[in-house]
Amino acid sequence: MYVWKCWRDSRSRFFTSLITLLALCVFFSYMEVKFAFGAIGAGPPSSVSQTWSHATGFVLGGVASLFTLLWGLVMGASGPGDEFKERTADFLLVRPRRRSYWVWTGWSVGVLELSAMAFLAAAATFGTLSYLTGHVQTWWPLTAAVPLALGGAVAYGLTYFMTVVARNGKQGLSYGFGILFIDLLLPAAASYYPKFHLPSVLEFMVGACKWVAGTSRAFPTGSLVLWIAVALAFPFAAQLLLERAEV
Amino acid sequence: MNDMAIWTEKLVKVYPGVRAVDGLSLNVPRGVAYGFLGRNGAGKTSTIRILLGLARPTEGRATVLGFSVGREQVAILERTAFVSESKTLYGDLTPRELVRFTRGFYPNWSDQAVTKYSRLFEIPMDRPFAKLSQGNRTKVYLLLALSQRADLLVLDEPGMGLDPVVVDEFLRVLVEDVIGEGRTVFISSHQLADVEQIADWVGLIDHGRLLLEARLDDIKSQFRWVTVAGNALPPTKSPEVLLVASEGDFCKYLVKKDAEAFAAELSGQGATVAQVSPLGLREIFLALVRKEEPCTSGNVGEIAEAVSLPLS
Repeated sequence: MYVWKCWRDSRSRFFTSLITLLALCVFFSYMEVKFAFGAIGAGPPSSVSQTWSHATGFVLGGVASLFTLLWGLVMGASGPGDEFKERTADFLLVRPRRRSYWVWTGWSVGVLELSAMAFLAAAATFGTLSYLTGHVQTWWPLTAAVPLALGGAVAYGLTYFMTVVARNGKQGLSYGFGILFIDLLLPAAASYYPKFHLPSVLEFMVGACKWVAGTSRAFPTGSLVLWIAVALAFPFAAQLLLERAEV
Repeated sequence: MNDMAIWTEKLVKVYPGVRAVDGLSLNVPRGVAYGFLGRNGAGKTSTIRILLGLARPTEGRATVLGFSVGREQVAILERTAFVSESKTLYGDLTPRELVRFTRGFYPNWSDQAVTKYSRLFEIPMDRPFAKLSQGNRTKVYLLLALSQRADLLVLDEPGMGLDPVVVDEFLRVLVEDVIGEGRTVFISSHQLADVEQIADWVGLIDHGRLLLEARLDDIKSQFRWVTVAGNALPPTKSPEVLLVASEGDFCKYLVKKDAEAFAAELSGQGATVAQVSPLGLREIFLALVRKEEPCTSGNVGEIAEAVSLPLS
């Protein structure tokens, strides 16, 4: 039914993005291990442990985080708000389900896809590092899938909600990009004032991945709770809006 | 629990600057074909959208199949099939995939009906919806609606883009497979001849208000044009007289019943009654919704209270 349709609508984008992300993770892990480590000025790896740590932090905390965040935005544009633009809302919304069903089912499919992407990205990085270094240094890189998926879910939910606000997928996507851009810029600008700290989802993803990599001691627990709440707030807000929407 | 298939009471829908539905009270009995007629912008689609939960009424109440509109919407939608005016579906899905998508929502879904109607309407089941002609798109919509085997079919301009042969087949399907099984058809259309072919009841709406709700047979057997020469002396505000309009040197009265007695009354008052003639659905539609040139006296150009004849 609707799960099948959501999957059918998103599967080509999902596989494209998955293959791209996996290729990026393998490539940058390889670069980290073979060439990049010395080139970025941190000096030659004193141990395999440092190689693992740095590669995990850069590949998952940097490349994969940014990719998941941006791709989460793009995937969210196919939410139920786009049905209004495509003029199919009066077909979908007269199927015998509560409107919350459409919101949460579509959202769940997207978040599952992002979670799968995040886990496979972590696994690809882990696998590449294991292969290149000859052994499994630590299983921890796999847990980086959690912040990756959560950050992706936040971005996905943001666009998902914005498509319902705008009643248009592309417009919702542009709103989502704008808001995420502000979420990246504003905390950076506010960092000039030590008393202010504005939360940024990318900062959370990078911080959590660094903790996974062992390069940061503190796990951002507060941020984790905050971003879980934000990730759930977007579909909830979309539900409230869709329940009141007239076609 | 209301016994009507559709019941509304003083339904109002106001959009910014427009009173789309204005105190509409409908009574659609179960197991009949009901023609819901009106000009463009009369409020038909707005009413349908309210009934299906796609819009909220500003005022008033409504039930569909006994379930309260708004509060019991899922129960209504489980039992109601809808063919929308827009006929837009997912462009990249084929009719076969649209069937696959839709069937799981409905407990009474019939795959036999899918086979039967897809053959009858000659629907290309494996071509993407976006590549279908307007007529074939309409057919796909009809296929999905008929295969639900719903208690109530709400059809908003169902004949759009269909050739006369398919329209004829579709009307036959409605009569034999839907109304014949005791289910209800609520059809909004400008194709008055098609509606007249199958409808048991008609409701006529203009500017959001119900002008007439009656059995089609009653209209045919009782409604009459009474044509009178000269400036006659019409009884003002008579509940039997729906409309008074002038036509050249004649004055025409649309009388809902006892036309002969009314004509005799006019004759008794010195008027010359030229003709008492029956009228079809098209004529009554045109008479009630068209801006007629009024007579010089009487209830000029006015339309009396909406007529609602007894159900039995």
